[in-house]
Amino acid sequence: MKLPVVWLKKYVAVPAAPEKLADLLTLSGTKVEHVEKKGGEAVLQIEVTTNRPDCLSILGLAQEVSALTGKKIKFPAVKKSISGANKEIKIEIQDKKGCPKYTARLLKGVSVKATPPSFQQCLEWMNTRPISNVVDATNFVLFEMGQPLHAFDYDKIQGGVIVVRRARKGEKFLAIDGVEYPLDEKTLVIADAKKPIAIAGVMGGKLTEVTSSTKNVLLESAYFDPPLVRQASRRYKLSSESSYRFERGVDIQQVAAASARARDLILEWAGGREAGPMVDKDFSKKVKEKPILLHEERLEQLLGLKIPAGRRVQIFKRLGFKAKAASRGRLSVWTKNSRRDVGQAVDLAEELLRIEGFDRVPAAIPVTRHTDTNLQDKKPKGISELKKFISHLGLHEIITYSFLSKKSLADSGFQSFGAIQKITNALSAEQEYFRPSLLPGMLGAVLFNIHHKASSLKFFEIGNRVADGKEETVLGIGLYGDLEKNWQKKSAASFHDLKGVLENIFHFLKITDYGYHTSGIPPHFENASGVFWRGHELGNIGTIHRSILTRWDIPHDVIYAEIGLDPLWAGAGPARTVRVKPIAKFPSVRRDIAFIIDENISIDVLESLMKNAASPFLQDTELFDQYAGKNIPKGKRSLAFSLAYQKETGTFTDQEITALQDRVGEALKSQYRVEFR
Amino acid sequence: MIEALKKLEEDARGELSILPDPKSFQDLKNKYLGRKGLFASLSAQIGQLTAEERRLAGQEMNRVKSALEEIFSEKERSLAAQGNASVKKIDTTLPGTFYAPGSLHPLTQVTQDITEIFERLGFRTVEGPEVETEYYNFEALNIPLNHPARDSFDTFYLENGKLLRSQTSTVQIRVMEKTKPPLKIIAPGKVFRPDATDATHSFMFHQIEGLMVDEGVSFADLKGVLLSFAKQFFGDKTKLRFRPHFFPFTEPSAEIDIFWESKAMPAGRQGWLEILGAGMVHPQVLRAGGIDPEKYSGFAFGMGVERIAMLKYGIEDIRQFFENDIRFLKQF
Repeated sequence: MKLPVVWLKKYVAVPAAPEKLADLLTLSGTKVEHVEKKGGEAVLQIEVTTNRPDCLSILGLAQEVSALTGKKIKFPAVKKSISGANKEIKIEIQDKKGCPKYTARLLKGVSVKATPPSFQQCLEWMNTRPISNVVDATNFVLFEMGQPLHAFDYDKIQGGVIVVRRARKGEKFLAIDGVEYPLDEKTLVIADAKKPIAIAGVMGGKLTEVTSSTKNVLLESAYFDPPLVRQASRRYKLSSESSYRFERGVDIQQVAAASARARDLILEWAGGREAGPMVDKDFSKKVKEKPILLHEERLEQLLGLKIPAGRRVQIFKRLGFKAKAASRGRLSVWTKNSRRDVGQAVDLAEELLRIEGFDRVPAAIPVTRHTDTNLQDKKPKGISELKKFISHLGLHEIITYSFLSKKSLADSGFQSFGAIQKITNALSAEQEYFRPSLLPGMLGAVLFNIHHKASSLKFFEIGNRVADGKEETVLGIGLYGDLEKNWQKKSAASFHDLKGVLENIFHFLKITDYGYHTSGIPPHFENASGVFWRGHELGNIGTIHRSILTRWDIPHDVIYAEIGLDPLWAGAGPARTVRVKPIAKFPSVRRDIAFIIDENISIDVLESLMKNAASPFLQDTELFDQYAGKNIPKGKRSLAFSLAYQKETGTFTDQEITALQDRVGEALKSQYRVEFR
Repeated sequence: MIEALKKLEEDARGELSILPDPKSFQDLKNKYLGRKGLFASLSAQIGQLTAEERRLAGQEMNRVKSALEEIFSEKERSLAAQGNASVKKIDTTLPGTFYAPGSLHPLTQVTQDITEIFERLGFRTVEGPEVETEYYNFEALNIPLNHPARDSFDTFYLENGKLLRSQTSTVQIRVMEKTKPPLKIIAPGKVFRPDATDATHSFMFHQIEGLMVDEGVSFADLKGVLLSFAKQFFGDKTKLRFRPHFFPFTEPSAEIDIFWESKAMPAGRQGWLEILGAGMVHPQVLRAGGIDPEKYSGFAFGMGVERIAMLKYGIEDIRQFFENDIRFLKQF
């Protein structure tokens, strides 16, 4: 909404400096975005919130100024209207809910020409092009009073009849902008005997437009159901000064007054005469304005500010409310039509506070009563700590878009799109699906950086995905290129590096009872493990499949893990308290064992086999070498473990150790026919 | 002679104790114990003495010699122990080679900084789902269908009929449903709105929502809490300006501007800048959360993380947050 200061001055005295006026309005809730000079005059650009349609007019803003400064408003004088029946105007309201009030006047013998320049200037300030005296009069009143009006060329209305109804199936409407719109049956239209001549509250029609040859004008002023206007405006993507006001709600009590004001201006600028009384079809429910009771103590308690009783009454009166002090400490304020946003005590509190000034309230720190303990969700805090920990491991946190294109999903190996949530009103094909995994985002971030010459990337992201209809918080980690690269060491990131990262993370989370498996690995991976914990399938870790990397055009391996985090904080979660084991009193004894074995036998199986064989003395088995290749038969590998034996009651003799080592060897031999080295 | 020997020993001890640098050790040793050193030349004078004198001087010579040898070798050991004599040199100017540090995303850092401040003020961090229902995103928050108030909260819909939350205020209702006052929560999270992307708009961004509900909570409390936050986050001299505004879920509602006078900011961006929306929780919203508005009152506030991070770090384009350029991330 634009507010030309010189126009405002016609109705109310204002502070000399436009900037001062702007501050006054901004700090009372009518935010002035900027002040511009237009045609040599200051014009304020105002952001009007959706609850304040009353501020979409110069007079409405004058009311605000009056409340702030105490200056009286001078309303424009309007000539009396004749009342009674008008046989010439035939109006039929078929949708009384969509159109609870419709008024029409007939103005005959007008001469359509240019509007007086000073009024043309007014419209130009509002960014509205002057058209002709008749049309400009309706627009002037729209801005002055906030009531949209429409002028029809009466002689072009077929059958001389106005019907307010819903559009019929297959009906079309030629709008004033020259575009033809096919209408749907929900649309409220103004029609003549044959066809729609306006979309109610949104836009007038080309065929009944007032032109230079128009002689007789039908002047419409009405109230249309706000949601209906809003739906039509959105459906046809037609937004006008009229629809903007109707969808926010105009003051139904001003409908007739605005019509009279426009009539006065048309007759003054275009000549002619009013042919008979105004027709007023009114089906609106008569709202009985009711008093709202404001309790002094509760007001003070809510605002943390005391406003004296006299000042309270004054503020409401200046805002145009009827207000009266009731019993001790109570104030009655009556609701009013132009301010439908004020309907309960808190609304009154806001009115008082915004006029009094938000800066009048002192800042206080509330006393904290301790909250009940049932807010026990440890996850947000836990995730915050986890992010810090992972970043301390040398990884960089990324945040990727939660929306993905079909292509990025397909390129990442996702095939059944039925299971992935599609966004029905996506902005573009780039953002069509809600992510079922963090992998495409990770690969996108890796590729972006490869394009910018990065050769080493260590990324992680924690965010939500929707997979199998369930929203879950997951951790994605990706390693690409060199893990380390400096003048001393250079090593490419491997599966086992990421596995080590994962094990560090589990240690940080105090989770020990997790395990790996190799069944049911999704096809995105080659060489991968599943990770489980207490019966929960947490996720997978592995090398991204070559075919995926090829599709993304990523030249080197990407090692990736995606781990569900929700189970880790669900219920009691893992026991976070460490129970200390006593430190052994006697030194442990280390012996190595090396053997050649089938390469498919997994390390953890061997470790438990050895531990069982020398139970309870074999405390630790540490793999220190793994070799396959030259001198080792195909399909086999050489493994070397350092075994630590420990006794709580004393030291071992050589014979005891040898016996234990023999037991380990026997077990390996009988189970897997290993060959010792 | 005996006196001269004693003095020699004393001089040697003195000089050795103030040895200027390890390199001159050998010179000093030669000076006293070398073949043409002071001890050698003094002992050459023994022939001029009587037999009795020679016997006493001889004894003293032996004692002084072994004493000198002892103190010099002692000094030599201690010099060697200091590593100054023969340790292999390394180039200490070569760069360190431990794992390079990682980083937290700037949006996470700002979120953590903000939530930690509120946690110190007694708020508790909670979270809510991103996939939401019409009820939590709109109805319970007093935003009616087909009302222009919805314009500011345009929403993405999913095929399953749910929607992606367009604001973190959804968490307010979810918490109130489960927890009765007194309650103080802070809820950071992602939100989605179908806005065309440009330097200051993104269809995905982050918000932090706060809520306090108890008996007798007032607008003054809201001002106090937000001022305390702003001073801790932006600095002690921070000024806030509360402007009346409209949100369907609060009444009275306010937009809050911070006075921004950072020298680093271009001239046009100095002055009052909007950073927060807030207000007293609307009675309708309290009711939706199952809380009696006659007994309790509360305040709520919300802020955009990207906007604050952009201000704090001098970032000009919101899209930089989601490009994940390692050259950008490494700076945090």
